[in-house]
Parts: sequence; structure tokens; C-alpha cells
Amino acid sequence: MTGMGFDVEAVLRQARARGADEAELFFEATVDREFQVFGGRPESLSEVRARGLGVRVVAGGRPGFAYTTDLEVQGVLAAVEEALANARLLPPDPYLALPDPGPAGVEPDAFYSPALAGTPMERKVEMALELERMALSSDPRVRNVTRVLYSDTDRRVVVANSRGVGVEYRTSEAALQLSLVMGDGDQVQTGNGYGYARAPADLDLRGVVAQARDEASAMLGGCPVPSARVPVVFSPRAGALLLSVIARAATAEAVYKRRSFLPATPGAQVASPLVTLVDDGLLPQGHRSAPHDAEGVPCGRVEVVKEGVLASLLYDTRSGRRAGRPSTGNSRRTSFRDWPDPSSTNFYLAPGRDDPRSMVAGVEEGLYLMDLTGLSVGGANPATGDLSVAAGGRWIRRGRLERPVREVTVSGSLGELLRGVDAVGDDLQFLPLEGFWGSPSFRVKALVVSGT
Amino acid sequence: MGLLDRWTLEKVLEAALSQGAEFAEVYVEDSAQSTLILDDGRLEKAMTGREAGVGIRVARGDAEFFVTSDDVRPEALLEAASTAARAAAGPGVSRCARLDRNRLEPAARVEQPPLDCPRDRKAEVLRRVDRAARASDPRVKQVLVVYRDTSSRLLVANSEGLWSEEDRVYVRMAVHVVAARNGEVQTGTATWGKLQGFESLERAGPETLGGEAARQALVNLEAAPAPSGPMPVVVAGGWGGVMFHEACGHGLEADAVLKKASVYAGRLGQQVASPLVTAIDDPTIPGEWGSYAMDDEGAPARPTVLIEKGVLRGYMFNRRTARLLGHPWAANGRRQSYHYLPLPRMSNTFIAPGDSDPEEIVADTRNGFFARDLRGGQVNPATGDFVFHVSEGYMIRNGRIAEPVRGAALVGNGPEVLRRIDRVGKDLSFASGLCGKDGQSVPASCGQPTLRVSELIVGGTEQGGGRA
Repeated sequence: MTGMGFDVEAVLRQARARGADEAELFFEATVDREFQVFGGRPESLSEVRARGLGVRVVAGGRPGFAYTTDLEVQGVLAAVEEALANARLLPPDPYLALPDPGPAGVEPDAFYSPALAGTPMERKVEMALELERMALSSDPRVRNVTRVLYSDTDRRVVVANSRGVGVEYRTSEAALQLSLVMGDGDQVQTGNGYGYARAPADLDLRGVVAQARDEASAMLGGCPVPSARVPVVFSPRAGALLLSVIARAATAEAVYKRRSFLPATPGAQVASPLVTLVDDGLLPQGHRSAPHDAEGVPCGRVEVVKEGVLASLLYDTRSGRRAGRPSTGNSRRTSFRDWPDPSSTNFYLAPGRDDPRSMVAGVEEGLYLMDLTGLSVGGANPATGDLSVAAGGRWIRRGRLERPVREVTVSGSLGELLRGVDAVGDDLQFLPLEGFWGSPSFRVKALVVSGT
Repeated sequence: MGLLDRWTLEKVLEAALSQGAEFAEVYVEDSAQSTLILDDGRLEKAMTGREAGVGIRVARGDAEFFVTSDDVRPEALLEAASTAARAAAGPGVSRCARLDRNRLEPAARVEQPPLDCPRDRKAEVLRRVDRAARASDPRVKQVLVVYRDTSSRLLVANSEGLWSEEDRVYVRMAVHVVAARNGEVQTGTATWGKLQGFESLERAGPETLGGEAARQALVNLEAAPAPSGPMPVVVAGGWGGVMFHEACGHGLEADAVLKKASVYAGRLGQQVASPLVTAIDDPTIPGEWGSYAMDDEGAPARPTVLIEKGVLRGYMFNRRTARLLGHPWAANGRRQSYHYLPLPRMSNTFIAPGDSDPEEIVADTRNGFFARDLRGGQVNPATGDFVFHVSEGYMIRNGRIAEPVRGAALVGNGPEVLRRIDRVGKDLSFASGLCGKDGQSVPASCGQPTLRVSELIVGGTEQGGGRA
């Protein structure tokens, strides 16, 4: 624990001397490099260095928090005073506690590749230019590549508390995003592709191009279909988008506060027996993988739903204490500026045994769902389970993918959807957006598709 | 009192230009934030933070290079400037022009700076919201109140001699209410935000906000599942404006135009909307949530007419896109913080009032849907396809607002909908939100009067896909 400009132990001691019963420091230093290429040239290369400290205290059973980017001793001590002043504002919290030191987590560099720091910027630019060229030549109908974004992050974290927790780790990631526009006469359609790895050399350029091309090509020329209640086959991408909402409902915090459609009691049947939902903070390729969570508790693998039965919610230290259970390592902060909160890590639907093609072949008339829009902006309500989102994909007739579909909505409830799953594919894929969600193809017996 | 003095600014800009860059810019920020969250009947979180740093940008040809430093001491700034300079290395020598400090009219008057406002006084406002929401009905089960104020001191200086400074104070509150009856659960939301001091929140009335969120949750509790199908849709003002913001506004930001990722690229002077539609982006509205005195590249704020009587008149530019597209000025370069490059972004974007009476618009609609409140949406800028979630909606039957319906989404295509606007009311109102783009979030407000779209697809959850 060096290179922070202040002495962790001394600050923790000082916090206690100033009135904290317990104190916790979360230090984070990131280097983000990012650029886009457009028209064969790189534009807007950026190298953003951010470092800061979050201070959490417990004083008289009350929590308080403050952050600062001033890491000189007086800046850090000012943040400690702020955290204490903030704590005085709140009522005591009977479940509040910081974690005790636990078993050692995985190696501090388990999710770090030194190859990231060793890759020169020129090489990254070459890769992004190559991606743009590949995208432009991937299909004669590609009119325009609107976005090639390369980004990588080197992140160092230290978590220490007055109970003796003291962990440090480093993670690395490199990502590519591609958006292209495909056209045919008056019809235009966009397609998006994502690549994610610990180091640039491991990014799969072909895979990124194929995702974007296939998505645009499958939906090009789409139009609404008449409203009907039909079977819906989710593509892995559409499934992963949906799981982002279910993941938000899976924390104990959401359930206690009645912001989840899931019940509080394990053992309840919440989904079809084909459904197993997993949160794995140690997933080797996971975007949210880390040796420890935001409170310094080792991350792990949790089966949230096992064969349709609710097995465990996701807990941080506080919500675990409330339930009389240990933390599952699900505390998260988006940065040092954040109060730690319970959250999913890498959340996915476990693959089943069905062949995705036979899933479509078994549908007389229905929707092959490839894209969902509006989930995070009110289209899905984790509290009520109501779902009403814009969708695109292909219409299925007599077991075959037929005309492209656009501008329809798919609606129902999340509970009904999970219970209606009647096939789960063997083609698990992950989608690296703000979180990391994964899904194989799966089929739901019936959902309302609204169009003309 | 400046954030940095002339001598330091000029030194840093010179260092950034030293390897052949043609343009250099320094963006300095010192900001403090305070957040309070009341949830489940108790004040749950109280947090404060300070953040200060500098973003240094250099440009050569069409390329830009950007580095940041969290350390604002002169030697650290010179170091960051040298890093940026090396990234832009090339032939040619540019010099820094003498900095000329620009005195800007403030975008708002602040009576009670949040930094000087005692924590207790802020906390009391959240409690008042909670009490008001709960007092309105025993079916109100959960109230979440989120309060945040941000006080920023900003400075922009560049090698062309520009030097602008602005202090900005934002106060914002969001209230989410959960109401329940017989196992049925519904939600309601109210939001409020201004570029003003703490006094503006006290004046807006915390009780009003709590009551409004509770009212919406209770309406939704009485509501039946929305039907599905195409129908005339009347959209109320305030959050109704998010439809224009998402479905058209983003397509009028010049970066989308430059990359031909917008359906509005190359269409200036063409009829793109119903002649009833005039749309404006205006960062100069005093105290409004999306306002500023200077944009985040130091340019004085000014309004842009986007659409005039249905004809496309203008785009929103940052410095870079204005140069590449040959536009003479830019006033919409915005960034989330010193950690980000400026992008062309909306400020306060709205459809201007028309001459219809809002009640008459409903009365003249035989059967249809009334979207009283929208909550967020998403759009594909290349195709214009959008979806908006309706947080409070009603059926219109025989020219009257009839029963409430819940769970509806509005699905359509931006350019199509603009052409189908057939009534525009007199009653302009605004709503404040955080607009996300390319990983950056900035305060933006949207607005419109009550208006009618002759036909739009309503996607509801009523079983069987039945029609209205």
C-alpha cells in the first residue's frame, strides 16, 4: 500500500481519534486511454488519470461518507471530518458494520494483464483502423461506420478498514465498440459489436465485426407486424440485455426495499426449472471481476436461481447482517466517489442443452428477438416486474426466420417471462456494456408483441 | 479570484504547443458536491466530496489529444502539458496569443450558495418531502428522496487568447414513491432541478414534489394495463419534451451529422417536420437546469434555432465539429468534468409554443391516448427509431381524458413523428434530467407545450394484444 501520498494506518487511527468507531478507506487510481477512429484516421486520443479516496466512517452506529481528490495529508483529514459531520446527520443503523478480515481472495493480479501497459498506442490505433476497414468491407450494404471506439483501463484499488481488512488489487481491460449503418434503398439499419479482453492483443476483431454486421443485416428493411401474443425466442444479446434488469432485482437490498419482483424467501419457485441464474465475481473474462468487492470482501460465485428455485440473493456486509448471512462479496462502487452499495457482478443465465436452431424450428408463428431498447429508461420496472420495451428482430413462420421486424414492443411481466421459459440454448455469450451480462438463446412460451 | 493566474496559464499553453500542435486548451475545474438520500422513512446516506483537476487538450490537423491531471500545482500542469505536446508532435510552430479575460454575464443569480447552507437545513427539506408523500394516502408504502447540489468553479483558456470563467451552482431533487394495495405495486416519480441556489428548492416547495410523486403512484395503482396499437397520442409538456430531445435533438448534434450517423445530415433548409413545429436550443434561459454562461470550451452561450416552422435551420456544434463542418461559431461544447473531452450537446431544448388551447387539443381527439408524463427513452440516431416509457397515461374517449392506463410505451420513428404533429398548444413547460452520451452525463432540460401526434404506436401490456 504505497504511492498514495498518505499513511493508511495513520489516517484510520486519526479517524478513530476524532470520534469514529470504525473507519474505512477506499483508494482508487485509474488510467483510461480512449480514442475513436473515423474515415481511416484516429481522432481525440485521450489519457485520463484519476485518483481519489473515499472515506467511510461508523460513528455511534451512524454511517458517513466523503471523498476527495486532494491526497495531501490535510486533504485526507478534511475528508475524514466531512464523513464524521455527515454521519452526525443520520439516525443510527442497527445493521451497519464494516467487514472483518476474511479468507484470502484470489491473487491480486488475477484479472490484470501486464500486456496492457506493454502495448504501444500506435499498435492500438492500428487495431482500431483495421476494425474500421474490416467493418466497411464486411458487406456491400455497409454504408457507413459511425463509431469505432477503443478504450482501455488500468485500475488499482486499495481497501482498508479499522477492523484489519487491508487488500490491494489491480485490474486491466481493453474494449472495442463498433457501430455501422447498413442500407438497402431507403431502408437503413444500424448494427453494434462489442469486444472485451484483459489486453488489446486478445480482442477478437472478427467477432466484433460479425456481431455488428449480422445484427444490421438481420433487421434491415424491418417494419412493424400485427399485434399478437406469440412465442418469443431471445437471441443471446437480447437475453443479456434482459438479464441486466433481473440482476438489479437480485440484491437483498432491492428485495427488502420492495424494489424487486423477486420474493425475500429462498426456496420459492420463481422461474421455469430450465432457468439457473448465476452471479460470478471471479468469472475469468468478466468485466466486473475482481479479487475483492468494494468493502474488501473476497468475490465469489452465487447461484441466485437454481433450476427455477430462488437459492440466494446478493448480499453486502450490511444486508447480509440484516438477513443473518455472510456477505456474498457483492458490494460495489462505480468509483471512489461512491458510497458502496450492493450490486451484481457478472450475471448470467447458465447455458442449457437446446440447439438454438431447433428452438426456432419449433415455433409455428412468433418473434426471434434480437434487440431490446428502453430497458434502462423505464421500459422494465424491477419493482413491479412490468416489462414493455421496443424490440427488433425477425418474424418466425413455420419454424423459419422470415421478414425483419422493427418498431414493435414486447411486453409482459418478468415473473411470467421467467416461468414461461421452455427452452435454453447451449450458446452462452456475454455482453460488455456498463455491466457484464450473459445469456444463451432461450425461448419464452408467449409474450405480447404490439405493432400495427 | 481566479483558479489559475495568467502567467501559469500562458506557460502551460506554451508547453502544450511546444512540439508542433496548432491549438492548445486548458480546462480547470474545482467542484464540491453534496448528496443526501432519504429512503424507507429514514435519512440513509449523507455524502460530500471535493474534486479538482485540469484537462489539457492539443490539436493538430483533425486530430485531438487530451490528458488530465488531478494535481493542479504548476509543475504538475507543465508535466501534463508536455505529455499532450508529445502526442501532437509534428512540424510547425504556433505561439500562444495573449490571454484576454472575458467577463460573462452569470447564467443565474444565487442567493443561498449550497456550500454555505447547513447540512441540517438540507436534511429537513428531504424529511418534508417524505412526510408530504406519506400524508397523501395510506397506500404510499415507500418514499425515496435523492438530493444533490454541485458547486463548480470553471476556467477555460486557449492558445487563441480565450480566457473565460464561470461559477455554476446546481440543485436537484428526485422523488420516487411506491404505492401498494392488495399485493399490487405501482410507482410514481417527480423530479426538479435548477442552475440556482438552495433557495430555489425551498421556493419550489418540497411538499409539492412529494405530493406529485405520490399522486402519480396512486393513479397508476388505479390504472388498467394499457392497450396496444396505433392511435392519436396527445403528449403533455414538461417531460413530454424528452421525446423531441431523444428522437430528434441527438440527431441535430453536429458529431452525429459529421459522421452521417443522423437522419438529419445534409438536410438544412428542407422541410423535416410539420409546419407547426419550431424547435430551439437555448442555454441562456436564466437559472434553467441546462443553462450556462459559457459552454465548456469557453464560448459565450447563445440560442440556436434548430427547426423553424418545420424547416431544418441549424445543428448544435462544439469547436471541433464547427471547424470540420465549416460553421462560423460553436456554443454547445459540453463535458461532464475535466476528465472528458467536450462534445456537442443539447442545453435546454424545446418545441416552441403554438396557438392551440391544450384542453381543446384533447377535446378535438375523439379516441386516443394521453401521455401526461414520460420517463426516459432511447433512440437510434441513424434510423430515428425510438421508444419512450409512459409513467402516467390515460385513454382519451369522446374528447375526454378517461381512465388511467399503465405500462405503456410509445414506439415510433423521430422524423415520422415530427411530420405527424398536427396540434401544438400554448403551454410550454420544462423538465430537468441528466443526459447521457458517449459515457458522459450533463444537465439538460427538455420542454414542449401540449401537442398531438396524429398516429403513434402504443405498446401496452393488456393481454391478447387488443386494440384501443
